[in-house]
Amino acid sequence: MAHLRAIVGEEGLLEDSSRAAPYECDGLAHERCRPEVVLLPRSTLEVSKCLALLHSHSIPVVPRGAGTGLTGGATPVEGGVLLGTARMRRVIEVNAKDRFARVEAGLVNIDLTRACCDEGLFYAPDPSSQAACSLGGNVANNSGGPHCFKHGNTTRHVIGLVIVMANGEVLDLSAPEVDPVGYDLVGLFVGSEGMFGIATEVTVRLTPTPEAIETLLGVFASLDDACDSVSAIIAGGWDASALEILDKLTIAAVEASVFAAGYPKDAEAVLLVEVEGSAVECHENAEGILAILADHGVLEVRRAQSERERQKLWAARKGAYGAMGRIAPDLYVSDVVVPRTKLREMVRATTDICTARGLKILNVFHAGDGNLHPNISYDRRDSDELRRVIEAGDEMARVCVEAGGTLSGEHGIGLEKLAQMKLYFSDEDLELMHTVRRAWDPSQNMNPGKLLPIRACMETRTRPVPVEASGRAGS
Amino acid sequence: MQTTPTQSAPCTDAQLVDYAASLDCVHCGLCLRTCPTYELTGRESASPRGRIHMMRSVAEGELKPDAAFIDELDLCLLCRHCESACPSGVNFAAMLEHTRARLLDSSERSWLVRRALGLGLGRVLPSPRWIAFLAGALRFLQRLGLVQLASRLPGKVGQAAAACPPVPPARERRALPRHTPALGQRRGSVSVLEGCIMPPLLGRVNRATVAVLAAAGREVHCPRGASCCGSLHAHNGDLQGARELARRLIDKHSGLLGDDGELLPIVTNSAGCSSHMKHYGALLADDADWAERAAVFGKQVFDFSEYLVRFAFDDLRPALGPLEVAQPICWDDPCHLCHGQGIRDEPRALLDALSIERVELKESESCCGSAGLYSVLRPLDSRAILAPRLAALKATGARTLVSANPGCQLQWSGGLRQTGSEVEVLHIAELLERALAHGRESGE
Amino acid sequence: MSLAESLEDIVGREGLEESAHFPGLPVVAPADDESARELFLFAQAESKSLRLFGRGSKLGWSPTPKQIDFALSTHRLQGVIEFEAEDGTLTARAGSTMGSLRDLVAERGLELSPDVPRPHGATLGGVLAAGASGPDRLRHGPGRLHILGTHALLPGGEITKSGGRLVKNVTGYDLHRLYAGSHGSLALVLEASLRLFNAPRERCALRFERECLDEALGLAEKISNMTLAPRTLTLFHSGSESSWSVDVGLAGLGAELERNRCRLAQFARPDERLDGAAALTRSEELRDREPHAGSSAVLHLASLPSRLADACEALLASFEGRALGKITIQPGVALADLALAPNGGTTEDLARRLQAARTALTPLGARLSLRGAPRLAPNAQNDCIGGPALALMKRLKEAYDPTRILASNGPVGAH
Repeated sequence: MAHLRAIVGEEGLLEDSSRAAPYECDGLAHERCRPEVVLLPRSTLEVSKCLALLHSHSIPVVPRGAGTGLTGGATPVEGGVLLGTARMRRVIEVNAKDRFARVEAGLVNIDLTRACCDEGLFYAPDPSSQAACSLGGNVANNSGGPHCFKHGNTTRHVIGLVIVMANGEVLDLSAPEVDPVGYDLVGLFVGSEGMFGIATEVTVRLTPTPEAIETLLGVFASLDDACDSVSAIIAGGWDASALEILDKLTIAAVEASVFAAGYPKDAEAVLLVEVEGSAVECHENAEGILAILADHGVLEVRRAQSERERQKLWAARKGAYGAMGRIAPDLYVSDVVVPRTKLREMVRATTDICTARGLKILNVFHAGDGNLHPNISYDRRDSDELRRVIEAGDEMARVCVEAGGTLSGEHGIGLEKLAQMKLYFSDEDLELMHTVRRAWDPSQNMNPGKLLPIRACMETRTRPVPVEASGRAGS
Repeated sequence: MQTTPTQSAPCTDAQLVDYAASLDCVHCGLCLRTCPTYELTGRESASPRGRIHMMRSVAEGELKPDAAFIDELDLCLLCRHCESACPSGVNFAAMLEHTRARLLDSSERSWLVRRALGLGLGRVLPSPRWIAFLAGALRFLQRLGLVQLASRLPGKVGQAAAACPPVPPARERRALPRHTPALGQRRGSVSVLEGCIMPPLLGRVNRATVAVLAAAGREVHCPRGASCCGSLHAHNGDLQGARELARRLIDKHSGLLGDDGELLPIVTNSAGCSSHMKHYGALLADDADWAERAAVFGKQVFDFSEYLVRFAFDDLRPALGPLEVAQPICWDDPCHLCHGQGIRDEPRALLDALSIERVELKESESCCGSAGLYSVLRPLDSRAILAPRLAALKATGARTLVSANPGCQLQWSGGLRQTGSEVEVLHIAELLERALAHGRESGE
Repeated sequence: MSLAESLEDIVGREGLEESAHFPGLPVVAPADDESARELFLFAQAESKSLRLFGRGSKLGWSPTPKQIDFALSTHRLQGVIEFEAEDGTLTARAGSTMGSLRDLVAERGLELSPDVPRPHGATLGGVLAAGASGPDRLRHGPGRLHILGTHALLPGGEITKSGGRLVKNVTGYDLHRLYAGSHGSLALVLEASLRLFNAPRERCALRFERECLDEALGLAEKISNMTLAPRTLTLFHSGSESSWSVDVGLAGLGAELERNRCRLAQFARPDERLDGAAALTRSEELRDREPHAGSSAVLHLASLPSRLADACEALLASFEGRALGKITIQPGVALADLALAPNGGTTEDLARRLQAARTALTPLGARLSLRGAPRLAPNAQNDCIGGPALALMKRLKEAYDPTRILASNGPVGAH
């Protein structure tokens, strides 16, 4: 312990139970494990020294960015150390000419765009948590976001990394290579959920700010109509940069919050469409999309009249998840992907699965990518409700996989979807992933127990919280 | 007059926390980046989300409220920036005040700290005489050069001494007149809150406030005997003291009625005070005798710029003329104005009415580290929080910084003084007053 | 029984071929996944070493080591497995040619990326394994980004899945990213899924002639800075004439196209302009004229846009006096291909010049590789990697192919 403290400094090591308590979970609140030690190193060198020391004692390490993950990827493990990147937030270099930036892994996503927006550039992946989540966490989960419909998930934007491997060795792949020399280690690392090593520096591609942006809000009398218009927009070959659907309950939650943006509360669903490009392109695409919306019974279309109005619409969309805290203490955010030709039926199917179990479901999702987010508001203190939530999560995954879909579009697997991995992958597929992981980390101490189901024992880790105290006010 | 520090009944750990409120948080993390102490430390437990997590854990019996828990709560500035970012509407300030109130007598705190806090909140702040005496004494020490000497000491004492604002001469410390007539045609009446530390340290701001209101045709009343609103008490956990002061303030203003028989608008030039006073209704909700009066009172409280823009902009505008001020200027949103009251556009509207060059400060809604007594209680943290703000100010190239809260004004002035900057810090009332003076001269 | 006979037992007579790429060696072309699997198991059992390829167009990018026993071509593993035009995805078997797939999706107003040169001679699997890209890289980025998933045959005989057919998917590790650019050294990709793009509605091609490289690069830089987002931007030098041509491909909606053309005309008057079908034909010509590593040695330079001019200059200086062939440069993505004229000098001279060029290019952060004949030592041909990255790559190779049946001379080195 003293050795670790000497590496990270007095402020960089937390061991009292109060300070460790907030690290016991990420956004998957029902999976908790209080870490004995939390390390907050300040540099690649410190991370490297910490990992070397921990490796020599065979102590498991769980990396954590901002703790906004939703699948338990940053949930600590028994007897392990939690290593957070929150004190590594420097922007190392912004190269406007070659359109890339090098930053430390703890930098908050939105701060990267803030650092380069004066150069007419932005960082395209914009998870809803972008005001909080770290680039390192984005790399670990290959995070998406509304505008990834056009620009692609994180992996399409990461062109270099500095990785500290389990034994403390530093793998410097930070040079912005046009093509990888040898195997594409960077491409493989993105989305590995902290099991290959810890990324301490990220080199990303920056995107030129579009000349024009047009934001449309289509109001629908049914969720089906909204879904069908998205399928039609994709099939019709119109280029949108984001296609997002919010249902009625979501709108109600958001409109009650500080992010209220004037979404119509009586609509069954709204479709938020954004197109970007040159003014002409924007106009043409918007007109094409408007015609499709009209064909699908849109009740009303609003156009953002100013940048401020546009920002408000997006802030509301991105605050939707947090706003659901108004409904019940906990929130289960599912994340499944289905072919975009099957949006309507799959949204229906997931909704039915939840309502059949007496659960409250709110839909807000990246419709353009077929990436559904059925969110369930619940109370983890109610053990039966928690059981039904987990059951519904499994069932939704099963139904989506059967329809040609997949388990996750942007949140990753973590702990939440471990058991579901077998729905999607065969034993051989998983065995190969184990093998690849061992090539990166022979010790298997990096973020153990995540993403890859361990063959024999799949313990159920969920436990209700015993409390006798009173419930929330007014409920 | 004095208030008795809280003697709360011994409570269980779970009662330390407003458990129901803690359940509103779903851990989305949108508050993290807004939190000055998280920015400073990178520590989850020093963030709103982390603090709520700890509070909920305490309520659920999974965590003992130990010294580290208290320290992380004490580190909070109560700037309420997190509330502006919270989609779930978590009322963080109220939660923290609740817990601080119950921790006030906790044995986890040192006796000395508890005693000093009790004395300061209980005796000094509510008493203009005590404050006047201390201000006089401080000025005396400053004139002797002893404070400057002490500021060279290492550690907390040195930092505190360095942070000490220079006390102006006695003529600037005199109280406001009880009644000031409107200038020109009377278009209404208001009462103003004189404040606890305003008269000795920023008397000129009070006078500027009255002058601007008078120039807008407002007859200005300033009742005696109720100077402190109790916000510092509430922030530091002395809710009992805060309630007593609230009752006293409401009482002293109760005789001031307008032509329509309604309570006069109460205008304050301190964002921390107006933000707190607007919530008197909630503060006294459990007091049957006072709850309704407090709620009515709260609705009549207006921040200076809010009042002017909503009710007196057209009356004021003709009185404004060109003014002398180092430009460009920039506006720093006081936390309790923008996060506490949602007032962002009004001060900017006033400033832009002056036709001077104004630049926007990056992250202008971030806390400067003043936070009421915080700068005195935790001078090192307070300065560390100010440091990035000073850098942001420098980047704007502004030569005048305008604010609307005494604490912020003193904090910025202190920080700028220490870095040898020549940027002038003005209260928005002072700036407007300068425009008035010119308006009058050119009119004559 | 000879090796050829054993192989014939598995793939049948029609599956046993000869290829100019592998003189004197048996070449097998399995017709289905199962026989490919049997070939792998055979190689395991008999400790044979084999080289994977498609149609051989990019074999020269990572030359074959001398000690191989046979080669396996995927060209008979053809066919489209699923084409979901309305979902914008395509899944095809590895031996399908890029040209056939491109023609298929074009019927539905879609296009696939990368738009590689001479697509009817390049297979999907080969393009993926070589990490190839085309002039559309300026628009769509490198081709490896558009692979949604693969089914791959491992050296041990297992067929494993990675990714899927969906446009957005983070389930499991992105192993398909590892196969892209691995030159068939880890596994045999049997099928791959691609994300498709909307094809441009209208096109226009403009050509500017410039006297020298500096002028051409200068014009290209101006165009790059104009935010008119050209689809393609290529510089070409024929090797025989002195002048350079700068080709700009514009695409989009009619009004958009017209506006961009006008903006461009404001500071440079095009020497030639083609519209509609002629523009499409031109774009294909431009794509296909990239020097072909099959016929001569090609130097492949990868740099950064801001350093491209310096890198080109350093490279040309190192090869001064040696006869050069065609040169194509994609300034937007900082890639250049420079053909060496056949019989332009000795192998030793080439190795020496390569060494000199690398010394000059390294400080510029540029990479240089030699594609195609003549045969040099692997570490002279490609940029070296060392340290933990190389060690990790070797561990990955070991993880996939512990008995080393898959031959490769990639940067990970010969075995």
